[in-house]
Amino acid sequence: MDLYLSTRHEGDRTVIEVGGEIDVYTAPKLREQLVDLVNQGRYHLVVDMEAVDFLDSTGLGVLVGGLKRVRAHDGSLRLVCTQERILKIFRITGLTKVFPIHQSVEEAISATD
Amino acid sequence: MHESVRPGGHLPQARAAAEDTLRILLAEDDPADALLTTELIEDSGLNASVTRVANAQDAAAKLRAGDVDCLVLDLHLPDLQGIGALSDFLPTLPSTAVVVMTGLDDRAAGLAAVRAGAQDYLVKGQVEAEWLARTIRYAVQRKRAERAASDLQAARWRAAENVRLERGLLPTPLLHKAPLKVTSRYLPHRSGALLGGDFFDVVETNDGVVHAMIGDVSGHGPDEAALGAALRVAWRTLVLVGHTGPELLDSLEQLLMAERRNDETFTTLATLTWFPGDSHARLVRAGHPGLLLRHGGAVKLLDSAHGPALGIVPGLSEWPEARVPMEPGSELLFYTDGLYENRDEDGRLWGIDRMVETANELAHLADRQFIDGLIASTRDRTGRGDCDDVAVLHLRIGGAGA
Repeated sequence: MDLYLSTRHEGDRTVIEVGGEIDVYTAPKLREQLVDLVNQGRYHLVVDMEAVDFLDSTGLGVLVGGLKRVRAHDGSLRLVCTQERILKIFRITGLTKVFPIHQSVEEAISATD
Repeated sequence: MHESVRPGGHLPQARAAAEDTLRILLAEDDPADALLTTELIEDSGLNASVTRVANAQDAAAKLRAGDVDCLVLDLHLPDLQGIGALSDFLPTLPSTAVVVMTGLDDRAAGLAAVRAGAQDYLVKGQVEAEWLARTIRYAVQRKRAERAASDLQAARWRAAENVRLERGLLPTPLLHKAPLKVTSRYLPHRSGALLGGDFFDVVETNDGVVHAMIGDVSGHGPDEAALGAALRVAWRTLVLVGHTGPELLDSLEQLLMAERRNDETFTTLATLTWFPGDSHARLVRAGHPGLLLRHGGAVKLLDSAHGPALGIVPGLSEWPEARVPMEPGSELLFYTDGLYENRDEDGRLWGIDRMVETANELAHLADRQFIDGLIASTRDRTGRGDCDDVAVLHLRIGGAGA
């Protein structure tokens, strides 16, 4: 299985839809996408994880790295996820403490800090 | 390759010649000497193609482009400052043999060239065709043998490095009198070439307290394995000087922040402290999945309160201590996420819940069969291979049982 990415801009927010598997082999693709967006000056990112089938520790690391990049520009990285299996991974590793996690893309886009 | 032999026993001549043609680069500025050497090579019957250059700079360019089996080099080229420049250059040629030509009064320079990495030297004016051919052929063979030996050496170093890392990540438990039986397993993930960053340890300190730990550096590769080994040794050191619980994790997190190669790297870890005889142990988890407890023929997931993985929110984490029952005859299973992150034959992920179900189906087995059975049944069944390393640390309390 592979990783699928598509991005769209909604005002100053950028939504990145992620599908498939984020693992040691595909995570570099996601990292590249996040780095590109930050380099383009997009500092408010919403990562839609609803179509993610698998997420391993390398993938978690890429999300953490992305958060550090946008924070360096006073930006934000929000996650959209209702899949219990993925939420469990966030809870175990403690990522729920650093990422705002939303029920829907709309909720994430309209959210303010 | 199977080759049919015609009556008379000769292989087709053209094929044999094509396979054995030696590509010789002759670096010689004197046209008369160049002609002489080229004729000697032709007369010798050596299957060779000779290309000539007149200075060291052109020779170096041709060598960098590759496709040269043997360099025949005049040491008196105008732009070659004796052997000095050569000694830097020769060792960088991975597969080209070098034969040096010197003058009659210059044997010392020929020997110096051999010391610098040339395979042989010849004295101009004293060379016959057959001798020259043999020298070139032997030089090429020696160079190939050197290369095979160095490839073998590199493979040995890699294997030795894996052994060293394995010792760093997966040590021998340091136990004296504690009523504990320790069993451990480690399986590398599908690429298998190098260990990942899973590690564990068990130590009994002088006060009789037992400390057990398992950890997992995010990602795979030599950097992660080296970081895992560093954290494991740091944990053992901190435990031996008396640190436990959240304070221990604080120190490990500081070390992780200082040693990690990039800011994506984090580490999950579970560390347990138990004074033998006490009914409960203290467990602190940093982003690590809960332990499995097997007791009375059933397996339970100990999903107690825990804090974030090391390196996620540096310096701001709180790691609550949980109590774990330590009844004689019961067992604790520490594991890394590689145990439940594979897919079954239908492509479904195992996940923690189904792993616990499977553990319950195997709960009646003796220790070793239980551990190996659980690992075996949660391996990848899609044919892609396991996606992560798996480390398992099993503690049987009281030392009774299998």
